[in-house]
Amino acid sequence: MGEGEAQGAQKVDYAVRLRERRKLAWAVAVGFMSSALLMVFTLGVVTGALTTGAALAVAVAVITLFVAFMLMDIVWEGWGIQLFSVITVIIVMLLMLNIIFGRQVMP
Amino acid sequence: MAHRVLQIKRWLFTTNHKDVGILYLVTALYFFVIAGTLALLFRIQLSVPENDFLPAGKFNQAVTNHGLLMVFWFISPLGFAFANYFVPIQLGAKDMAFPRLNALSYWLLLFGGLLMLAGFFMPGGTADFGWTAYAPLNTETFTPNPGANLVAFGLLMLIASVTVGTVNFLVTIFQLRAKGYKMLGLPMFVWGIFFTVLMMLWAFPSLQAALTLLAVDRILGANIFTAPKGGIIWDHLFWFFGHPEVYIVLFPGLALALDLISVFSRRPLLGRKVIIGALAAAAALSFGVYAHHMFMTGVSLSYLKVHMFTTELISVPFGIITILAILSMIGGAIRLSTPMLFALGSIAVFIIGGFSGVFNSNPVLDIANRGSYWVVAHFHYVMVGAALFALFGGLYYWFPKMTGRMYNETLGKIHFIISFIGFNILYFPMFFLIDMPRRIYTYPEWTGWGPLNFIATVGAFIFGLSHLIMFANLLYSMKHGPRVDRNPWGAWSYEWMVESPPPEYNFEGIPVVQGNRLMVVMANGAKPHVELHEGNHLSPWPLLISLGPFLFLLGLGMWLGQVKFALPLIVVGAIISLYSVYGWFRDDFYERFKFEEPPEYKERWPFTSIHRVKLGMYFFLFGDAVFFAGLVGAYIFMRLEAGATLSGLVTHNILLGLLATLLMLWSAVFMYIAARGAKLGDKTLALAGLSLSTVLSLAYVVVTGLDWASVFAVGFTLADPAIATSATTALAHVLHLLAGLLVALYLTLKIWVRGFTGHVPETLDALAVYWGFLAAISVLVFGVTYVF
Ligand code: HEM
Ligand SMILES: [Cu+2]
Repeated sequence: MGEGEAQGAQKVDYAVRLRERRKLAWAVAVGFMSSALLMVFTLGVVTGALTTGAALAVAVAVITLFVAFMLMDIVWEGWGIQLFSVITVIIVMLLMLNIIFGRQVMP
Repeated sequence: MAHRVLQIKRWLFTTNHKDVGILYLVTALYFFVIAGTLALLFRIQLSVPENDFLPAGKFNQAVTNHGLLMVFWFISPLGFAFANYFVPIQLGAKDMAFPRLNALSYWLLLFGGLLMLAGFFMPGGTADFGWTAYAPLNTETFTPNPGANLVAFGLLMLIASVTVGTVNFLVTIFQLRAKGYKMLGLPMFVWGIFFTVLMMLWAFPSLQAALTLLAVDRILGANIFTAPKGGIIWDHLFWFFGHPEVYIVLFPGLALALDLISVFSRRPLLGRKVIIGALAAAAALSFGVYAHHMFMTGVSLSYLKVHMFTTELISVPFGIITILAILSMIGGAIRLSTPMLFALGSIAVFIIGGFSGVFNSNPVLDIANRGSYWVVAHFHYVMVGAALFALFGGLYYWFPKMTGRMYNETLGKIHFIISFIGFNILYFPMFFLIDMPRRIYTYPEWTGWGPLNFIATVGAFIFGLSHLIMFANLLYSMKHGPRVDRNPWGAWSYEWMVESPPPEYNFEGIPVVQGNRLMVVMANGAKPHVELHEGNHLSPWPLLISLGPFLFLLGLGMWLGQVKFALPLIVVGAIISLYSVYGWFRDDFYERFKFEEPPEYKERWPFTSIHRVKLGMYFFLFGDAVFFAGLVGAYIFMRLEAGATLSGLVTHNILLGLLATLLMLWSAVFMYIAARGAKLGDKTLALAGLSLSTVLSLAYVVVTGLDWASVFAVGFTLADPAIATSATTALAHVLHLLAGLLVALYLTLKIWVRGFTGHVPETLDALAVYWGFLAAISVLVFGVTYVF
């Protein structure tokens, strides 16, 4: 039975059960981990430890991608979804970088 | 009479991919006639110097709407008419993956186009800023024409249509191939559509971001595009979409031409895999060349050089494709039937168009050509020439399949010859008008541009009127043409294995591919397995769910233009919108609309174990990521321009921001838990997760609202581009969330009342992915707009 037809409440087989329980536990862990990351990040900004610029950008990108890949279930999917996710990240970066670097006007 | 009514009902409520294909076809041709008429009008104006047939304002409106209608409502939809009709059959499927969404794409397209046209009837006229809508020309200050708002709304509806269609085609191509049908064996046309929708997926959201910001400018009085460098951010967002868009226009036709060449020279295509690779390379590169449209904006040269280099690279894959297409014909038993003539014509003009493009890619040369009729010639050679000729070839090619009757071959050939000659008389002189600027409504005598323009206008009439031959031919043959059997061309893709016209579900049984042959087998070796797929193909909701927003936006546009009767339209539109959403959900609640092909009869590589609803959600979000990237990118741009005085740290309360983000984050965690509950069959867990998630996300909305209220209370306004762009981002996020909450509410009710029936677990799983996406976006928004 594929993922498709998980119908009756009783007939969920053991493998699916195990997998879903593991995903559930991970989601809670991810919730705490990313909350902590966000708080540390905010603290860093408020105290001035995290100065603007590259460090900030990297921190934001890392936390965003962490949340996206974990909570969007991408880590649990097959390579097809993962490939498309990575392409999307590249395209998003491409747009951002173009906007940032294609901004200076010639003297 | 009753029969009539049934017919009308069928066309309005249909969700069958072939009916939808026909609707697309008729609609595309209708917009072709309108946009073509506009072209003839402004060609008359340009035919002689100092003409006063159309005044400047009318001229600009005609040019603008001509461009927009041709690109968005004619060429692309024509390609998708065939894609709708034939891709499922070519895959060995009985319909698209989401038939109702397919109908929805169509109605959104139609009503979007009607909104565009309504712009003409607004007092003060419609959009006149060219199809690229360059900023700040597109803003209220420079284009007060109220019709321009309707144009922007029409485009937004089109984008909605494209988004839905894109997701649908991707899931269909990935998951509905007949068992045994490998990706590499698909016809070139399917490959062309595949790359087209991929480009659409990642390109259109950038335009969506641009238009959303424009709407904020025009309606809420922000100053994003009137800001000192507002024009440049428009350029980025527009051309990040715009360059892929020109390939989006090209690919269906180009790929179709390749299929036609192979069928009519009775040879397999040479280097099929190389061609597929070349298409992939061109599609990928298309996202990295767009600044060649910005050579004149004054953006720094070192940045432009990168794009110049990639632009020159892009001619390589196209060169390979053309050469292989030509080599494929050598030694074949070529038959010059009408479709083949059009395919050959398409390749021929594509070569000229492609060459002229390479010249444009050099900033130095381009400074001379820029904004001149040379560019107009270039892109008409590729867009009209390559795309339109190939697709008209397709219309002749598939006509017998769609109608069961043959068109008149002689008239077809005459149509080709006249239109091909007319086309070249129309556009070739423009290569010589290299010193004549585009978008001027008239020119003085001494320029010497008169004669060439006159020739072009004559060509325009020949080209334009030549299509009447086609219309007459096809309309007559539809009723009176000789009957044909399944495969008049001796072609090998699978639409030719079924009757002409194909039966409602294409295959009466289960299509399976073995070797290169398609066979229709029966489940259990018994009678055809009809009951598997015999759903009800009718649904009124796709129509109504598009009609509602149409009326609403029309009313809004009229209200902004101070036209009477706007308010009733707004109210009626809102009511229809709400009612039709309710109706769609109600149908799903009672599972009235069912259509699904059993996954075990399908080839689903590489997405073998993921449900189509979730897969569709993923694709939607991959596109949506670019939408948010565009909005956030615009904020970064404006913030860098504004300097630290408008930093989020100054404008926002960072602790409120943190609180909001944490609320959103945990809302996503609980939605994820709810989805696990559904998979585990645990009703309590699912309902608890759903309700907690709902409460937390509502709290998120409230906190975000409070925070923004305090920003405005301190005296910041939308007049600041940095504020306007970040406010738009926040608004877009909240609207996404509210739309999601509707689905969450529906799922809560359904699980509560009916339990895990139908696709509830899969839908909830997909919704959790959506929530995870929104959490990631809110982290991004917090990290960028509050902190930076
Ligand atoms: C073979 C490779 C191609 C190259 C190297 C190329 C290059 C260029 C360049 C550099 C420009 C900018 C010219 C200017 O504005 O001064 C341009 C404009 C344009 N190209 Fe191409 N092009 C190619 C193929 C195509 C194709 C296949 C299409 C469409 C099917 C297309 C459609 C357009 C359009 C619509 C414009 C004008 C946009 C506007 O309104 O400003 N091009 N091309
Ligand atoms: Cu381009």
